[in-house]
Amino acid sequence: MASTTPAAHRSGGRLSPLLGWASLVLVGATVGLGLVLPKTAEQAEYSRLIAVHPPVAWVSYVAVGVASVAAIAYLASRRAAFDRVNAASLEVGAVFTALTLATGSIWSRPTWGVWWRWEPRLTTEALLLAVLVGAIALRRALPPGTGRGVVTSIFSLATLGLLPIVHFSVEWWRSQHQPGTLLAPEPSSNADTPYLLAMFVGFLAFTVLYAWMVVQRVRIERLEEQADDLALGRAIAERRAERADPPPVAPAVTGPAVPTGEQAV
Amino acid sequence: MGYVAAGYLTVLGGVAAYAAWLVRRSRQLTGDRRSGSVGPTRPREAREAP
Repeated sequence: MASTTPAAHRSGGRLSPLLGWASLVLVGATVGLGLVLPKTAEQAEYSRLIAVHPPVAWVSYVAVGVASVAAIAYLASRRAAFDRVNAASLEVGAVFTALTLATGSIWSRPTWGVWWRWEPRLTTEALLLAVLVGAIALRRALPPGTGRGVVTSIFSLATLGLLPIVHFSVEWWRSQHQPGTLLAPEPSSNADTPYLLAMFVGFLAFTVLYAWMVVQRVRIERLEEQADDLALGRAIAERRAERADPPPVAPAVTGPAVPTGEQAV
Repeated sequence: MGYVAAGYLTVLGGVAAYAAWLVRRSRQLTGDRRSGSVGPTRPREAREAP
């Protein structure tokens, strides 16, 4: 049974508004820095997407990582708090993975000439999104309890197994996607300072935004559990009250007399 | 510039839509909790209210 203490109700506390305002300011700064980046010889103005696309992809990695840590903690302890963090991080991770695919597709149209190509990075990223959406759908289909927590945890660990495949797909296979700029075995960090600055502010902004979203989602998860508990308690109480005090029997409906068999004959 | 604007708008629109849903759902559940109209089996008086 979920806790219904006022302290539990005020989840997030002072942290949530702080994260919310900080993410608003930082995302604004990311957009400001990103849109004034100088054009490059290779990609003209399309390189300005570097301020949002890699940071959003980074957050999808962070989300899967946090979900997996929470999943391991849940499997080890069976504490509901870890299950909530796991579920929240999976959902936020799915949002950011979808945005990664969308922005990647928008970037690939002017540079590659196509919206989509079944090349290793895009395909593995799409597979990651499918697993994340599957985990969320399955969780919603299962009743609350330990079984649901265990299934969600297993899915989280599956997404963690996919993460290195997604990230190193550009190194392992012939990919049209550029190799890693920063998080690669041999980083090709030859980007100019304005680009690095915009990217790092973007990493920070979307990581803080992710943290705010997870805090909010955990709070919703807890409130939903409390609502379910409360509704169940009420249903049981009403059923008991109905048994103790049965409703009055409605008067019999009187209609025209039906002839008996003898009268009819 | 069209693709750059589309990329930024997609990210900002996506996160804004999800954040708005989070805030709305949280407020809805908090409001339900305060008014007592929680879950599929609300109190009898709440169900019978016009």
